[in-house]
Amino acid sequence: MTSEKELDPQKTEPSQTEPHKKTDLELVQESTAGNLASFEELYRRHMRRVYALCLRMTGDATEAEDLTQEVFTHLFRKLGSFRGESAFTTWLHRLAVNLVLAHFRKRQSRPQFTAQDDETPEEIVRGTENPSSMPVFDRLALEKAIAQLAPRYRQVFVLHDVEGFEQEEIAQMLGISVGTSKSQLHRARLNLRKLINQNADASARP
Amino acid sequence: MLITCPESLSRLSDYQDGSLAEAESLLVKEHLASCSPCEKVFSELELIVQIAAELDSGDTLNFPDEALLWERLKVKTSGPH
Repeated sequence: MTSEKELDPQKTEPSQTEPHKKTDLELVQESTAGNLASFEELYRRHMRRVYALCLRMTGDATEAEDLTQEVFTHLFRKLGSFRGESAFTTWLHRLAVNLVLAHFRKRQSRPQFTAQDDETPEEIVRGTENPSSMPVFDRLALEKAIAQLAPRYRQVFVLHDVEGFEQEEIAQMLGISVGTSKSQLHRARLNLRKLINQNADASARP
Repeated sequence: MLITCPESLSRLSDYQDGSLAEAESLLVKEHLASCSPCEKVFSELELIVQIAAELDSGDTLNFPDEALLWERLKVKTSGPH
């Protein structure tokens, strides 16, 4: 197979004029030394991922924007403590998750009970008898359903299934047992399935 | 020993994540093989988990103005530490 690189005559030879793309660690070191341009580069590289995390965790764009600001303000002050022992993205992500959770604690928006919380597993999986009930869905449909989830389910689902944290880490971060975290994840997935069905039904109606 | 549909449904995430004990996992597996409604739920949950892992790119979201946000951030970070 011919690679894209071989098809582009301008790229047949490695460009010696192409500037070296700095690593995150280099940018961190320069930022710590007071180089604002390096910090801006770090921000541009990671802002979208941090914002996506904040948005999915809160379900609110304005709140997510404010939290993103807070994460990077905090990052700027904490940069000196990054030693490069783990990947910068992992470190930043952990920092962002901790700030989002602290934000929830501060405004006491710990899991509020909603109608979804009161459902029994049987109610959640209602419709199972119709094998064709759930249509093929895409990422947009899942994003929409995540935003509709009850906060405590949304947090565990986003941390585990989207961000890839382990159950033990999630339990520790949220101050709950591993068993509770697993149970909330299960309910989150079942509720998502139900929400996707409901949304598909609603949009199919004339 | 066989398990019922509610028993199977309550274990699907643990089964999916591989965190069930071997014997219990086998029970769920056997139930799913003989119960098409539960199997359907399981395959849908699998799809949700698979798509969730693909959300990482963030291309399904609307992002705020990057430059505007940076200007605001610059003001905040230029203050005394």
